[in-house]
Amino acid sequence: MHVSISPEIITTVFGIPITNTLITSVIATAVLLIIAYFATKRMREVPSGLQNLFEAIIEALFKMIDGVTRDRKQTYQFFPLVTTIFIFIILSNWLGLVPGFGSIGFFETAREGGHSSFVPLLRSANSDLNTTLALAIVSVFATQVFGIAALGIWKYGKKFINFSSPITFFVGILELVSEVAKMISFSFRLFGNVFAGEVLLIVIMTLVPFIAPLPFFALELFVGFVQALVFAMLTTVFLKMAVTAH
Amino acid sequence: MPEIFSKLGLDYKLIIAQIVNFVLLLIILQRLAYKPVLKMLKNRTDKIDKSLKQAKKIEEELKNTEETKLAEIKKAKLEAQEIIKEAYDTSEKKSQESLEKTRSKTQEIVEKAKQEIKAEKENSVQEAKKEIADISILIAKKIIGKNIDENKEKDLVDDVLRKV
Repeated sequence: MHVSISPEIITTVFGIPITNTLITSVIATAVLLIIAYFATKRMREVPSGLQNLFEAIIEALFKMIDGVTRDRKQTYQFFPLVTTIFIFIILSNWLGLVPGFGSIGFFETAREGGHSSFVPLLRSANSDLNTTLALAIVSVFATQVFGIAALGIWKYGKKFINFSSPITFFVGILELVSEVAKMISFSFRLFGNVFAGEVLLIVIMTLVPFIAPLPFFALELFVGFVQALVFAMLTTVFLKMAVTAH
Repeated sequence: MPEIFSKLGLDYKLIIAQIVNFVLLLIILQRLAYKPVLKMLKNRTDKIDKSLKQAKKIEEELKNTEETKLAEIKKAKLEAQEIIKEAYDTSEKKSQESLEKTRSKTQEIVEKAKQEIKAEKENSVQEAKKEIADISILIAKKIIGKNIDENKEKDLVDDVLRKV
């Protein structure tokens, strides 16, 4: 049993290492796009089937964001980012639980002195710090963009660099540090939960292959949902804080 | 620092690839899904709102109509009652009148008949008197056996009759 924090590199295209987590990200993206395409292909006033499900999810998320912002205009602004974060994270988390993830792969020799190691072809996208950090960067970057757009660059910048008094100056530095901390907490929270889940499932399945892993799968489904929700909610809250003048 | 990054499996190329992937997903979903779905949701909400308002209005109107109908029916009932009463009164009056008329006519006829009878009686009595007088004279003549003066005779008879 070999568990590595870094994702396994399958191949390299144009100098970009294609890892198994990147493949999963692309698969998740493709699945989402396909679902979205079929759900909105023939939109009808009275929804049914896939359109109904899609509308229900979007409406629920819209209401959730609206509950935080309490401002219809801001909700419409934040909606695309937050919703995409939520559905992308939840789908990649749940995709990681599909049989075949982590089990279909090939053995790679020639590493570690002839010792062969198993390389899974697919691995849950968020069990890779690159993915979660990418999401965190997008989230935090978007926060700055929305903040500047809402308050103007000078007013927003005063939050971080302010010489009016020593106290505000240090508060500004703290704010700057907190932006970086946000990124780290975002990425490590999601990564930690999903990676731990993966490891847990591997361990349980190695110990007791049948029946026993079932409750853990249920738990991982729940964790996948909660982590997606947490990421989306925190992003919403940070966005709301950024566009609110202090 | 770079050692930590590599230990965590971090690779700026991978991060950029993931960011590009995510941003592309965001843009496409926004165009393809969020905009039309949110628009449709808003339209539907508006429509439902409108329909509900309309339903409320219709209900109110119906209630008003019902009330008017009831009032109208009540009014019609009252009117009908009045008409019936009037008709009844009129007919009563008429029948009373005709009864009165008939009664008076009957009275009249009876009166007339009574009078006629009385006159007839008088007449017959008169005639009988005259006849009796004549017969009396004739008898008297026969008894006396001689003719007395016609005038004297009459006076005598009258006298006798008066005495009778």
